[in-house]
Amino acid sequence: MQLEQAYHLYELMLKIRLVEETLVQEYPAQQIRTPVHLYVGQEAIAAGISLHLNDGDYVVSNHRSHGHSIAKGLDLDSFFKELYGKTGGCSAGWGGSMHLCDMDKGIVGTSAIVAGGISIGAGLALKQQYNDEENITVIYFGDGAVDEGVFWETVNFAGLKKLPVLFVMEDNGYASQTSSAQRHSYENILPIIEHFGLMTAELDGNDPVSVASTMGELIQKIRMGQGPCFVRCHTFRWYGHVGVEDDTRTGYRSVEEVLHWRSRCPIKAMGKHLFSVDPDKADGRMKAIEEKIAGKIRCALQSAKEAEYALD
Amino acid sequence: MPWTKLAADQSTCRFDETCMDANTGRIISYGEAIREAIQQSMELDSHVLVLGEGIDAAGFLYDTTAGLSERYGSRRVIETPIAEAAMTGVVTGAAVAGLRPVLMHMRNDFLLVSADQIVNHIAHWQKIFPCPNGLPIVLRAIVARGWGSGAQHSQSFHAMFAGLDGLKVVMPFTPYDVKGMFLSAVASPDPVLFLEHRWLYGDKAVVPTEPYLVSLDSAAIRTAGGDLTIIGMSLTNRDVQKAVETLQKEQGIFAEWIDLRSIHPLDTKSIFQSVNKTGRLLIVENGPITMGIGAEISALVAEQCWTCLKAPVKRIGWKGSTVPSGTKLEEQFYPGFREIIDEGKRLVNYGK
Repeated sequence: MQLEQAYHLYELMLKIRLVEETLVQEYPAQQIRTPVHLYVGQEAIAAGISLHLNDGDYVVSNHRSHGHSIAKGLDLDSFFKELYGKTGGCSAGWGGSMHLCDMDKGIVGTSAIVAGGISIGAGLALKQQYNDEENITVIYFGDGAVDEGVFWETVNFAGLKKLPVLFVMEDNGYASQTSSAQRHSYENILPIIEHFGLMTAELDGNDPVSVASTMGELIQKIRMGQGPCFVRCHTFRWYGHVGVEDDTRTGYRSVEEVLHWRSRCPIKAMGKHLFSVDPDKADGRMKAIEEKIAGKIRCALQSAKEAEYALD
Repeated sequence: MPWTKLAADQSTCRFDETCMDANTGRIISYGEAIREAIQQSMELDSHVLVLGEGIDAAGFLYDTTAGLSERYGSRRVIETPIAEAAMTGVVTGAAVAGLRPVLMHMRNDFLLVSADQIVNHIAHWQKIFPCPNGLPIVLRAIVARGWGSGAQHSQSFHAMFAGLDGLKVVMPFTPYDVKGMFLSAVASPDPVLFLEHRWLYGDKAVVPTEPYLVSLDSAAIRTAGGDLTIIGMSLTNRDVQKAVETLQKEQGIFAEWIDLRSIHPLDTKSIFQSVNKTGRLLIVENGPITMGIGAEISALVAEQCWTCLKAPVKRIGWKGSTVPSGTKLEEQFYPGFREIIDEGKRLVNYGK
């Protein structure tokens, strides 16, 4: 991975992290009145993919869409305003946290129905194929979505029509609070997916360098018309399914599991990588990146707080 | 299939579009008018794609898609898996991205498999996300009846989907309307649920050769009258027409016949105008009475035309929501033109 690309990856991940940590701080004030599903811990996936996307590429996302949207270029001003229900929000106050969008950036919309956006992504890709574009569509979903029939219908259709789709399964082990073992009759989904004619890959979703390089290769193949690809990314969400608390105390996952994954922070891993490849400048550049992002967040947050409520 | 053909051909409509004559078109059937409309929509706009199970296979959706793939290729005429939910999402994505897809279902009963995509996604999409291209989707589905089709092949979901702000619902009755309204549906920037009735496929009338548009939000006053307003929709218009003619000939009752055509939005202006004139309203639902579109019309008329009403509003429709299969059960289940005549007479004589 080239040095500038590595810094860019770090910046994308840190941006998601700092935005969401800001939400955690502000949420108790009850001015962000929309259910938030935090992406903290999973940042390497959206960042490692978005590194290779342009505005002509589409992303379709789910209820946990902050990271996917911010990595794809969603303006922070319109993001915060949407969460505060203010004018200037990306969905004009009609969407909230679970319905982010920016058509100019290829963020066409997000569905809060599990697996609801998956088939819509295939339709976006159908248009890209119809117009002989080299653009692709990235469809993000969790391990819960693969329980749904419409997921399998879409995989079949994408395989049948060789659609330019990157299916990204963010496998954090739980659908809300229900573990994969309670839901799946199979251990590994990938051999099943391969039968539909899709390229597949399995990744450590908390290893940003590996995610970025593998995704780069796969996205290139899809652009060249080699058909759809399915990637299973193992990862973990640090916070609860919804809200800004850690819901581990409810008993569905162990403290040990949480601590294990927290010790595998993708942003720390990326920092370590930058120190190793750019020992002289990494510290200074990373601090500068952090300051730049923090400044943008401060401005966007302030602007959202001061804006008028969206009205019909 | 022989039973649908038999059912469709057993009685033919004698209605001709009043504004048409032999000089402005030629006589074709409702089914032929749909085929022509689909073909012309594809000819007019290369963004129009058609998708569905059975559209490029023997049968060609009752012959309405025959010849399309030879002419436009498999990129635009997409035979699909039987995956209603995913395909509805696919057309949504394609429309968001700028195409004008038409998804076709052999029965409107199958729409429910894709209800999540229609209700949770299509109907809300333009409200929650900016759509520079609009959301031009046509969901074409066929309502059927008879020959023992029973509970899951004879339903009519016009009312079930009529309460969604982001979805238009239309039910054309005449060959003229089915062509013009289909072209309007494809042309519309908003999603349209386009409900055809299988029994109307054999009806013939003069239809212009050229493409033309018919409004998606207006009812048609088929017969003017001052004594009573009768609203029909889709197939029930046949019985309404017969009843209106009989009432006039045998009873001297002049009923105003409104063909609803558009279920959502409702043409409340035409309905209120007529009821304010006649003071009496009879609605003939092509579906169960309970929670039908007749219930909504009744409520609106009660709210807006109360002082003009000379008799309580009356609804006629199916006896329930489960359609039976047996021949005699079926006969008992559907009301006919005799019931319309009886209710029409009762309304006119109400309080006398």
